[in-house]
Amino acid sequence: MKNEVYKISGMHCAACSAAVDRVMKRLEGVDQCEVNLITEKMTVSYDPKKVSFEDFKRVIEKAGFGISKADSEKPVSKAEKKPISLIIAGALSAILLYVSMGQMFYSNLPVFPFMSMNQNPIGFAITQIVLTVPVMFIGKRFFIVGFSSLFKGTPNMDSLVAVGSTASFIYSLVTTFGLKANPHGVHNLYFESVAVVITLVMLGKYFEQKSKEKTTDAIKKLMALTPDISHLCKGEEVVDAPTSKIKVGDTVLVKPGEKIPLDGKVIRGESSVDESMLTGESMPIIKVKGDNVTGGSLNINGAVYVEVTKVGKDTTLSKIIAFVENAQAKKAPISKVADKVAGVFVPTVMAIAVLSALIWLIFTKDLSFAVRIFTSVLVIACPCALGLATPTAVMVGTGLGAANGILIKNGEALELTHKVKVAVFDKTGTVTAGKPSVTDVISDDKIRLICLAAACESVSDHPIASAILSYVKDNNISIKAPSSAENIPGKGIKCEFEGQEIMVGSLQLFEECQVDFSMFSGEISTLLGSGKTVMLVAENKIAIGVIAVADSLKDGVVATFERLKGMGVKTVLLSGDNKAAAEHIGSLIKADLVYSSVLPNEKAKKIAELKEKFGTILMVGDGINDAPALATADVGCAVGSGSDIAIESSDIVLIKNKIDDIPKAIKLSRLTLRTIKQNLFWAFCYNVICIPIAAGVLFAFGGPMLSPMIAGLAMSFSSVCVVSNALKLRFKKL
Amino acid sequence: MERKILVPDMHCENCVRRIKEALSELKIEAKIDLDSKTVTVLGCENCFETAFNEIYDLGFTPNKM
Repeated sequence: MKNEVYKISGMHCAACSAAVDRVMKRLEGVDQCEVNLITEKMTVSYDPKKVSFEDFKRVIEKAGFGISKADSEKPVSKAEKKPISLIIAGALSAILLYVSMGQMFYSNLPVFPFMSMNQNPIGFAITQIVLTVPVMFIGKRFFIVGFSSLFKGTPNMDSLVAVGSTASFIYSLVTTFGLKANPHGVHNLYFESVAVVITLVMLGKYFEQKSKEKTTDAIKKLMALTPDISHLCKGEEVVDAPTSKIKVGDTVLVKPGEKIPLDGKVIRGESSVDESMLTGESMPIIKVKGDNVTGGSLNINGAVYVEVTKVGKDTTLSKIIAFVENAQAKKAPISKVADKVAGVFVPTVMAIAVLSALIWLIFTKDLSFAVRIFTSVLVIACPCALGLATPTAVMVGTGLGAANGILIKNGEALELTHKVKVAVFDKTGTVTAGKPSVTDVISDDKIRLICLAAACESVSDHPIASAILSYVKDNNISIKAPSSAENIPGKGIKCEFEGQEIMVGSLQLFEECQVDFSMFSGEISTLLGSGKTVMLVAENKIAIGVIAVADSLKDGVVATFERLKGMGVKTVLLSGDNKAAAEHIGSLIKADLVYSSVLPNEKAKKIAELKEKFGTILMVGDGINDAPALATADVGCAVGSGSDIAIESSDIVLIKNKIDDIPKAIKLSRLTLRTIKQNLFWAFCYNVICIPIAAGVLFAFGGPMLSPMIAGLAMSFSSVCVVSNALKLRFKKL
Repeated sequence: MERKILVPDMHCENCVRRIKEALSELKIEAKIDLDSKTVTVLGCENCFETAFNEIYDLGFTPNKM
């Protein structure tokens, strides 16, 4: 058996890697095959006598993927190639514009004599052809895709570019041949419009491609959450081993501050574990012998020995990765406004061109005149302003968003956000601060109670201790250190302070220590009912008061929810927390719907359900557990302080961390879409005026045929209109 | 004539695209439905067999319905 590693290209999702795996395993002689989607590598164990690289290449290429030896040079991806071709196309178009349009408007513009419009019309035309053909070659994709979709009966923006520019090119080429006989024909050349349209549309596609490449980054970051090396226990000895080699049943040591490598069960030691990134639970959870731990979560303060129960594809983290991958792959492409318009526009223009040519042929019996009419209509319909309409509005829109701290990753998200019917919010970290703070202090002497509790908690690093200490700091209360303290993990703390025995802890601790707290039972049940965490304080084994802590609302949340409702958007709160805590927060912010106890892998399912019920969904989240839901939602929106994975899985990022930017993002999308529609209107206005002239309507009544000067002016005017209309968006207030 | 092929491992839009491209290259007319995981071939018995083999070669596990 021989082992080899190959590089596989063209895989987009888990289904692709599974397909590669299946076609390989069907080959006789292949013993084992492992395909990694992220690293794009395939490891094969095979019998060289029965099967060879040529066989692998045959089946994999047949399945629609590429294969190369892993050590061979990395093939240059399409996206890496594009900027160079775009720069070349841009430079050639700029020269072309200078040569052609420049001379039309300024007759004494410095140019080489051989390309002078008046002195050497043929040289002028040939220079333009030499500059246009390379741009057409660079943009050959538009012709291939455009014509093939046109022939399939589904014309899109590419078809419009292909038809318009081909007609312009052929028309100009024919005019060039006739220049010798009629030098005045130089005014009828449209080569520059061919190059400019292709370059502009290429620029738009390049930005699109850039944003799409980012999607796999989320998955790469998720993979990086698992430490590469684990401390494997072999009897009494602890050795470092690669996490990929750990098997079910092995025991690993996790030191304080390290990440838990795999899912398992604690068999020795105890520690608090921060699972917030995975579960959304804001408080660290105490893990003792027998408790389950999840791979990727952070061990905070104690060393624990963990018996591994799940490895590889079965771990919770792997399942989240699979969810994100699937959700991203399932997102159907959004049909763009420009494509929808082209679907109607292209057949209409074609019909007008054919019809007007036929009418002129019947009336004049002149075939060459009819052909001129036919091409004139197609040439004038070439989408110069139409090509600019969407990209300029999207560019200005994303710029305005960025200036307001709203980062929009792609134009499609910006186009889609205006349709949002429901905004779903993750609770912890998005609506709430994600850190507990003191909400209630119940005692006859509140200051004394808080002083005693703070003195006790000053030796602890638990989040509840931090909440009490920051409360003391905020209220300018001075505290003294205790003379001795004993930490009771997961339950509370006991200390000696000014000769008194002080105990701060949970109800469970008080029950175990047989301290009576029945005098506070009414308040305690109210506090627990509203989802708060309750701590009792006792002095010399007599309960003296209650302190409640809870996750507090972020600033501006209530106003945000009100504004969203005003905009006609339903608000939904989605939380992994218990019903009481979720509903308490839900009632504070007046959410339309509250879903509690939603497990991380159920969040995406819930989003899919809501999508079916209400339509376009916007999801706001911050944690790793939100990543699948963010990818599933039509528009995923991450809070800037959230995890990298959430940010990578989303379409919109709120850099300033302020939730009141959500209504702003929706308003921005609505404004942008309005601008796109206005731009399309201006672009069409030009066509509506010029197409009839090109079709010979004026000529029929003794007017001009199609004056190139008018066509040129109208073309520039429509482009200026479109650009200035888009720039107007910059001054809007969100 | 219409005949259906069940493709249980067709998971996403990407799978649909791969099958669609492969079949249209062979000029086979087919309707692909991701929800029911089926490919409906519109054509003769020969078209159906070719489509079936092509889907198999793409790395899927097709079943004739």
